Amino acid sequence: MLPPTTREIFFAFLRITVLAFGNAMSWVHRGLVYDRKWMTEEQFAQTLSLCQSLPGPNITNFAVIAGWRWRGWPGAIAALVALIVPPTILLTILGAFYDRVADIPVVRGAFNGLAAAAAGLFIMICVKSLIVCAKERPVTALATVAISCASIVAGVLSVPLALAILAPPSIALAWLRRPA
Amino acid sequence: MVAAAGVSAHLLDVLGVLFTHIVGLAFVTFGGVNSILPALQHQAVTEQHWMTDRDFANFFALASVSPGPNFLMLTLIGFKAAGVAGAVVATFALCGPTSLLALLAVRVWDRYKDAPMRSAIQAGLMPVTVGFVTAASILLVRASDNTLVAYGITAATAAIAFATRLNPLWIFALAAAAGAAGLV
Repeated sequence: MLPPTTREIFFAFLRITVLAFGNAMSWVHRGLVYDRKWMTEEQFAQTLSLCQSLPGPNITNFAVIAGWRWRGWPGAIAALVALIVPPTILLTILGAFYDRVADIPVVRGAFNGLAAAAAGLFIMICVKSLIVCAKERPVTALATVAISCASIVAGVLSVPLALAILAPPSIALAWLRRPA
Repeated sequence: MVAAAGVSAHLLDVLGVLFTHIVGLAFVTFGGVNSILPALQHQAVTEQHWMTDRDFANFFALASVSPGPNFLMLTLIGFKAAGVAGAVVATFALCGPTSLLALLAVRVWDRYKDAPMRSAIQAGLMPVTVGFVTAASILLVRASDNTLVAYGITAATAAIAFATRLNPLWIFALAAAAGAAGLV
């Protein structure tokens, strides 16, 4: 099958970003693998795995890598621009309104409710990751989670410092326990 | 003239802080942008005083209910710190440089995709970043919930989202309506 054109890449990622709510990566999977069949399940899983071992947002890494594989630099740029620019414009407009309306009692109240619900959804995502950790390596992984979480909440370590201190031993443990 | 120059110099300072800080965090972002939320909150609220905890929680909520990836709450943080230029700089700082790195990495990826060291790195990073996300959820609840009703909404949303496939937009709409009615 011919790879999609730059224009097709642009509109595919535009559609993904307009629909993306909650876990945006599931919309990428649906749009590229299920609806358009531009990637196989295996290609999707391998690209996602690459993105997860690279720094930066997974979804933008995914967009530039997929776009680049199909159409080189123009494909990568089309995917990234379609994914990021329209919502950035929207959020900039919302940001401009925010300061004007945030102190109106009704708006403030609505945000109280909205923020509480958003935090709840975030906890759910967090619990799902904890379950994955617990299934893979119950003792070492959960102990690492606890140390890393506590050091951040207590303000003992910053995120970059905690990563620098905790990641090497955790990677060494994973290496020692790798499947033969 | 002097005042205008002073203001623009201040704006450039803020943009510089935004850019360097977010680029730095982007390169330690593994396992999703949620893992750097505690660092963002610390920088934006405690260090730079760009916003209150309340604003931070509201921005997270606003990005959650808007189209596009949720990490675009960075756009809102950038706007609050330095207007439209801040919004653009913050967004670009998070995804521009790391996108370039991704394109460089993809060329060597195929050679190492089956290397055991690579999967060990991935497996070892995961619990550390999940710890960051857990910390983020604790800090976010602290910033978001000031009343018992708010804690109740948080718990109910987590439970419903975990147990059902209901579109969370419905929960958000209900929670916002309850809040607007002065119940939260």
